[in-house]
Amino acid sequence: MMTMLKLPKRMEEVLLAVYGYGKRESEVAKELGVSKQAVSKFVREGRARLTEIFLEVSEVLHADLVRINLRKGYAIIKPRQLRVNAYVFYVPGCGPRVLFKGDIKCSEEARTLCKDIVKAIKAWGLIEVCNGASDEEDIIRCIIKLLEE
Amino acid sequence: MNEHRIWPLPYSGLPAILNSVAFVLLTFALIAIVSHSETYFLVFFLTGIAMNLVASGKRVVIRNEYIMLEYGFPKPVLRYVVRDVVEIFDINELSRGRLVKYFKALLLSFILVMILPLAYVVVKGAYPNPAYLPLMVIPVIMGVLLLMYLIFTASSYRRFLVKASIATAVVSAYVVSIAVGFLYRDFYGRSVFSDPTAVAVWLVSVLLFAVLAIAITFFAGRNHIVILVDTRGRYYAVGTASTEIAREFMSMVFNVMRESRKGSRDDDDA
Repeated sequence: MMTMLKLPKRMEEVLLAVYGYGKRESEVAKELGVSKQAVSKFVREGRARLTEIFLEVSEVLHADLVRINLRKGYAIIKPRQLRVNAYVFYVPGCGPRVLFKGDIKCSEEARTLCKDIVKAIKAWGLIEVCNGASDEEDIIRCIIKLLEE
Repeated sequence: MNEHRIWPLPYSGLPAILNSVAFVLLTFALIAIVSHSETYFLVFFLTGIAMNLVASGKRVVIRNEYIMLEYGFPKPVLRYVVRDVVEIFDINELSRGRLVKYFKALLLSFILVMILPLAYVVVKGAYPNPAYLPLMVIPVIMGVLLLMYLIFTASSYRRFLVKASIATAVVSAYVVSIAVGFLYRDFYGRSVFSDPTAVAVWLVSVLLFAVLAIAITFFAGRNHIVILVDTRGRYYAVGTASTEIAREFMSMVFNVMRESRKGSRDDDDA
């Protein structure tokens, strides 16, 4: 069965609060006015769905999954035809976006893609490592280096 | 999947500690045999081997909601249940993958060996016999070299593996050669070079050692290391026999990650 390549809004909020902002589940429960058990359930379900999303993207691109990080919302895939790594970022509110290695140019038509990826990087709390990076291209390059470690 | 083609690696938790201590004990055993302390040699050697056996990866069991790593040979002694996997990756497929970034315990044995000369002086209350200095200093240099490789030079795990294996093989052959030289003089009271047959046997042994090291490097290069991280931030390493086996194992773990939602609703907007 085809999964919708997007997390439900509330589930996404909870996942980003717990993993992106590093909040405790009890804190998130208080903020959202739900029980801690409900938050735990959202987190578990969110992780499972994010895994499915990454699996589906890799299947569509005929790629092997090399890495999945559910806490930081990204995956690394290796398309079988290209033999070069590609990076899948889960962009909050939008779904997954794929960036191929050596394809990092944030001009003209790729501008929206870069903006989306930087949005994901910030939302999942990856940006802290690359605070020195000045523009979108630099941020993405810095993050990709980190993902390959 | 063939169970023998995936195995847990002793890089974290108690198996990592046991492995590091075993490494140090076996180094002590080497010093004990050169110092003619047969009792110490037996104690260090047997304890080291026993610890190595307890820390050796036995098998990986995959169930619907968890992965179990079993350590110990011939019977499993330690069992680790890995639930709620939040990250999984094949370090061999990463262009800058460094094992030491995730498993600091790997440095422990090298650091312990580095403080060996100091420990010797403290325990014996005397400076070591100058004749044994190279034997004690070489493992120290070896440790430092490997640390340098691990931390600074290796751009990827695969490259590190090849370089570190060559360095270890060369240094180990050197250490063994020195030990043979010392032991020969101790037993027969003359240099090993005075006996051409002994030298020939010794050279053949070193050659066999080199062949063994090349074979190990070759097979180790084919193996892939898959790293799992759980919600508590604990890292676990699993060795696999090839790229295909690594992919097969990872897809089984993906199924576990999908199944971990147990008990949640399936509607879209909760």
